[in-house]
Amino acid sequence: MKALVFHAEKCIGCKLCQLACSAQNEGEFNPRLARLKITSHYTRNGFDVRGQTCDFGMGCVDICPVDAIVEKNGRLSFKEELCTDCALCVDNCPNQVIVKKEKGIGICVQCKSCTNWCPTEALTFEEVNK
Amino acid sequence: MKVELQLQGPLKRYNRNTDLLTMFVDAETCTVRNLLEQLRIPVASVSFISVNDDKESLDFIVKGGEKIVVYPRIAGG
Amino acid sequence: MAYTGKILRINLSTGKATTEPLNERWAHDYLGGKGLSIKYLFEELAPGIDPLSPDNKLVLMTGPTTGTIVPNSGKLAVAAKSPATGTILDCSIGGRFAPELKYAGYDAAIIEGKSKVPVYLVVEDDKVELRSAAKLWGKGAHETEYILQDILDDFVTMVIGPAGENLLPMACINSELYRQAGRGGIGAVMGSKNLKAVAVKGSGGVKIPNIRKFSATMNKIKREDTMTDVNMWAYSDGTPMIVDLCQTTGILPTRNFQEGTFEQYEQINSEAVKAVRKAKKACFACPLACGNYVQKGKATVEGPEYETLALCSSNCGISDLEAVIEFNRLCDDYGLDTISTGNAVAFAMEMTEKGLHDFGIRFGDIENYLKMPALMANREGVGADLALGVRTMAAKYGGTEFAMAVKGLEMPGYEPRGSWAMGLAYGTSDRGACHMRAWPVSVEAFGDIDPFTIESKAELVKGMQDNNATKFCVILCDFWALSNERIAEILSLVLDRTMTVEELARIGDRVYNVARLFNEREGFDRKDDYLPDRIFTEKLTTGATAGKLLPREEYEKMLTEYYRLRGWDDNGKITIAKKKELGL
Repeated sequence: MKALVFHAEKCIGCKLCQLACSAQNEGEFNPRLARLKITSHYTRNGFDVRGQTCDFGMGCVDICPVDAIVEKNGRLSFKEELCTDCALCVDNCPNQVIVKKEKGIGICVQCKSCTNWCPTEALTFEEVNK
Repeated sequence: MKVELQLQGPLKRYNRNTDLLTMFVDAETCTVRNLLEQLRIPVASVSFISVNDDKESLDFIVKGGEKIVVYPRIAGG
Repeated sequence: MAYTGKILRINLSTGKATTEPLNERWAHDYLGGKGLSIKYLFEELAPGIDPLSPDNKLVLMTGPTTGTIVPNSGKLAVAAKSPATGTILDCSIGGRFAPELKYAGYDAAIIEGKSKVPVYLVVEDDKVELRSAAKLWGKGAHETEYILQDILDDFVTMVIGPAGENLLPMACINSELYRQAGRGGIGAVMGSKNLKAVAVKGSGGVKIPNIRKFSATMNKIKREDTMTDVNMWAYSDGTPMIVDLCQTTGILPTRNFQEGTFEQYEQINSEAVKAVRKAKKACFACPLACGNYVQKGKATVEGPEYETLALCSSNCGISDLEAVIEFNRLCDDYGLDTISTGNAVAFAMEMTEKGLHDFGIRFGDIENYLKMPALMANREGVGADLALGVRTMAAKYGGTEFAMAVKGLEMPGYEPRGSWAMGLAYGTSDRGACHMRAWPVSVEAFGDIDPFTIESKAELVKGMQDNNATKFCVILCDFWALSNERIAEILSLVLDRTMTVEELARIGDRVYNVARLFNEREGFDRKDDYLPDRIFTEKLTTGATAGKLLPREEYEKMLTEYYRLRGWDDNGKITIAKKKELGL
């Protein structure tokens, strides 16, 4: 099974991945709506790079009480018409990469916008053991 | 005859990401431009070259034993 | 939409924040960034105001591509009347403040008046708040950003250090610790308003017609036109790359511009910086990541950039990279522009060595060199003199001929005697000696054009100035070398109207003229467009530029020709016909 993997040592913190994701999936450039979270900044403890991506752990599929999130052929999909906006998936995503929207949620559908845009291959789709 | 070439900055990718290489040349006929052609470095990617620390034209004829540095083009700035 | 159509205006004297529509006609004629901020200041500032009085305004201006996925579009223009020069002043700062301001719903913020007590401004969408900065005042720029990180969740900040509070003409504004709106005392304008910091967070986004197609087009452009040989030096090396090029061509300022080569350049060049590099860092939406986060010994900084290496290293006769890194960090933390600071220290060193005035510091004196940022920012001891800038230091103690500044703004790291067009670029830059208005060294010293002739140089400089002016309106980073055709292509998509290279050329010319008109109104003309005497009268002695100077009569000819091309008279004043042509 393939999932999105983040390589912090290669990341330059440009946020192009988040812009690409929000454009593709939400129709606007807005990094906060992206289905991955990358931060790269200086803190008191030094230079800090962090990435949260969907690692295809499928906790959301399990927790959704109405089966609005389903896995099919190694991809997740979201059925808005079933969603009751309970936000259980959002609250329980260990990587906090499910975006709560006014209606429904945004989830990584492996569209590869982020990996296509990443200029340094800091984001890749790789085989992961599940 | 031998010359030593140093490729700076992004030009290293034309030499497997290493900056130093030694090239064998025919003395008296080979220009630096010829060397760049052999390495497939586009002239447009080069600011200028130096031979033994002096800026020279690409048509400089190599005699052998020189140290040539190829500086990348820096267009914005 | 390329524009939010809204401007946030904050009056610090009354504490009131208001919003108003963006002036659409001006946005059409000046795009954004540099041009639009200058236009607002030209219209709103009365002539002759004191730049450090409540009458000055600080404009934070985004551009039509800000917040989008257009490569290298993350910059913000920060503009005001300059306390260092009395000219118009626009700086550009990277990081991610600009997109955040737009996401909060504003094309620009205009800050006016003066707060009675130190404050900082917090903008979160339509919530605008002034908070007491009593606990931040006096703190370093870095500590200030850390404290704001603790108080505010996920905001982007711009702050000043003690240099800005103490109104130094070389005070800068910092963001994300190591990004600066550096020049002309822009930080002192903020300090004069008792404004320590601006924090912004926006929940909105930017929409563009056919956004998926637009993204795909931009990704293609990024691959084929941004991440290419001519730009990737930024990623592979960053600006330290330039050290070797300047050394070889004899234009690396050394010991206060006494020479154009530095014997120990290998200790401060790109290889030396790369050897201590820990990470690469980019501004928002930039695939080139010119930033180098370095650590050497106990010293750490994002930098040092070429300008810092030139002015604070070779120009001060300092070859110890660890010391330069520490000096760089101190300047950033105290909120000092490294170009002007390096010049002030180098000037003091030469004055001391020549016995003209004893500042107690000589070329290569690391111990005293590292004390200077604190002394300057706090105006203590000799620092009180250095904090005046080289022009005023020279007026006080002599050495005018080697006070390396134009219009009071200290000179960047390219020796004009080895790149004559660079001399003209310094002389005619709208904000004093600046390397970003035009950078002809790329084609003269580093290219095929003879650096030691005035032939066709006026045209070269004007063309580069106009192109860069346009680029800084969009607002794109200087480091992406892209054609006006490409800018027109991108803007046509972003603005959803046809943009042409002809219109872009007119915009560049218009922006350069409105900046000139601002300066003209302040009394500037030909007499102010000259370089320090050293450039005209002293020959360089080493390397590729040995024996070279820029003959004054050649400079005069170049300047006259430049005015003619601009449509200005021989005294450098904009002719009525030109004003008419540009609708000014």
